[in-house]
Amino acid sequence: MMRTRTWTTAALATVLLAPAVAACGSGAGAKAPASRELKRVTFAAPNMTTQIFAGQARNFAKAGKQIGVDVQVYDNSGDAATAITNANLMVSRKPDLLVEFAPIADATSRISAIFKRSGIPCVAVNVRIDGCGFFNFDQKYLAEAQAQVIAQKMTAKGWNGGNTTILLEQASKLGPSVNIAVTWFYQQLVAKVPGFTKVRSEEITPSTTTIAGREGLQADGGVDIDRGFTATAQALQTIPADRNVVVYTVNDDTAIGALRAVKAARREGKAMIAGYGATQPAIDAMRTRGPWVSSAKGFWEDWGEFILAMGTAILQGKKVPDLTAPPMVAVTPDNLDKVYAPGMTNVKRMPPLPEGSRYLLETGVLQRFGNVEGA
Amino acid sequence: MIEKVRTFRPAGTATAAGGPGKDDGGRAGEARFRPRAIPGGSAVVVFFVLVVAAFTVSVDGFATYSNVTVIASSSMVIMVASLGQLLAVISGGFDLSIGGVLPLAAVTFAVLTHDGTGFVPAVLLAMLVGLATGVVNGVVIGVFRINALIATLASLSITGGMAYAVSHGLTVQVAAEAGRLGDPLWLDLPAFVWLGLVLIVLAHLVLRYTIFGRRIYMIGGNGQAALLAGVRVGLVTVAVYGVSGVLAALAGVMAASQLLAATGGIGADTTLTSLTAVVLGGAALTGGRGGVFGAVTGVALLGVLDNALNLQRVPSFYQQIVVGSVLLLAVGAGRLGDLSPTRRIRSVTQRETPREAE
Repeated sequence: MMRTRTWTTAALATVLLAPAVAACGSGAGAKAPASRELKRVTFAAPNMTTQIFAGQARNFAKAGKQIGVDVQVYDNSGDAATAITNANLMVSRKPDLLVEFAPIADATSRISAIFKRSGIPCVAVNVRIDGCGFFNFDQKYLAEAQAQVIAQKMTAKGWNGGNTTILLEQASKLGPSVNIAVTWFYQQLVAKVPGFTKVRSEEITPSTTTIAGREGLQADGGVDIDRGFTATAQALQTIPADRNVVVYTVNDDTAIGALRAVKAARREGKAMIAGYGATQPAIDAMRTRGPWVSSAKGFWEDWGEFILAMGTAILQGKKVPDLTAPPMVAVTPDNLDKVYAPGMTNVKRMPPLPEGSRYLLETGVLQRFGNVEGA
Repeated sequence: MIEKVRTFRPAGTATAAGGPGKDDGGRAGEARFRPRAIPGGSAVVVFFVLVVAAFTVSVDGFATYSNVTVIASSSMVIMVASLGQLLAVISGGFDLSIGGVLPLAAVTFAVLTHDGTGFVPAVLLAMLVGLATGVVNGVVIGVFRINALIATLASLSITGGMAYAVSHGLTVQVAAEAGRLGDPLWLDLPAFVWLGLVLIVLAHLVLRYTIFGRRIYMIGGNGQAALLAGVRVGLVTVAVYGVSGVLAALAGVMAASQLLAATGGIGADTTLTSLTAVVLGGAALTGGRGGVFGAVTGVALLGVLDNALNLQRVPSFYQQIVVGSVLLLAVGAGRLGDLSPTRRIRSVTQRETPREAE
């Protein structure tokens, strides 16, 4: 009798604890129970009043429809409280996959707790959430690609550490996840161009303003055109007119401001500018073959199809890496017409996925869209 | 009854004679009304001179003509927006909507010129947007008596959202030929800087030498007394916010011309910066005090600080601390001046005089 009761208790405990154990292991890199099919996805967009976010969400839903996945979009309205409410609403729908693009990092701890409690697999977009797989640009990859492009152009023009100043325009309020692009770019560029003091990325902190004497400067260019203009105009006052300037920004709007400041200072002939986003103004500026020489592109508007592939991989029980990234490319005046239709801004075909994200091809999802090289 | 009216006289108008029953539109009172143009502002002027002197000596490249053009170009957009803010503050209110009107006008101008509209019609339409917002603000505040803080906060939200809606959240480029306000005109300074200087002079003349200007001080000093003195407070308030809206819109056009592009986020800090500048320049948040000279000094001080700290390579986080501390010092110095024994005696005397007149 005693033995029977013990077995009954053990069986009950197993039944009760099983979902909890499964829930604990349902996050990033964890194997989902058995191989399930992705049918229903809930996606919390950061702010649907902003075109770029709204466009991304619309394309996500469209991509889902194309492959028979129902993508329900929630609007976080750029607000932490709304994001938490949406997290609860999304969980209550019991989808196969939760996708969260948190508007700000403030809410991520609470959202993480909500998702973990639900036991539903999740993907965090752009902002990390503990327990979820992470999908974002690979800032280092893009920064290195841009450093490569600019190093080649500098070498061709005879620019080096003796006659060039690198002006880094960080966006101090966006934190290290974005500003790593700036410091990594510097490390990579000075390693490729002769005459510069070699500096490691981690040696450049948010408070650093001068790097190796005249060789590097760091200013806060923010993410707006006007801040980019002012930061560049003021920095140019401290760079002798006979020195060349390489301006690296984390945002195309900042680069637009920088371009205007360079032109106002009549230093177009001695400047190279790099932006981020490959937006319409960047493409237009690069087509004129002026000082704007590169803009990083991560195919933001098409992230939906990659997230669908990532979600499928998670449900198939694959262990996802720490970061899954979309195809990325440093757009330049030379490759513009390879990435975009000539004279246009619509993407022809995305370049191949970076090494760490090639596992997405194994899901077979990207082949159904057919717009990525190698898929 | 007459005694009760007299107690409503604005500070500094001890001999004002206007009152109800006198059908002179309050002009008798206005004739004796002398606005205190830069009370407390003299301290910030001294402070500004000291700061400039210190930077000239200690910051390489600060006292060069090229850098002066950078400071002027960077500060003029805020300056023009601050003129409108100044009028609102002197009238006893705020105009928080500046931070929404500026980007809305900027993207309106950019979208119109991008689509082929001529420069002049695009500028006029952008200014119309500012005027419409300002008039609505003025009616809500002056006629429906809604608190200016709430009213303009609401329109800040509306116009800020509209700026993103008009631009679809994207960066809109301004056609190069439409950006003529941003092109150098004379002495290497862009045309909009010269336009801004003209507006500064005009604003000073209006505030100091016109009946409209004096009425703004009157309603800011004591709205009730101004009303009883026959001033059409509602109408003046509508005009004040209308002008403020137009100036904010013009600032937006200037910014878009300077940058040859506009976004919904352009001039995001304008509301706070303009308010800081006018208060720094001696304007009282309680209304009735302030002047163009003080506001210009306030904007210039902020511009010079930002410039010199960047030239000195002060990290951006520390810049915020330095700017905040300097502002506190400047305003504190002005306040200490107000609290000096001589001024206190003068102040008490002024407060006592109306009773003596009774």
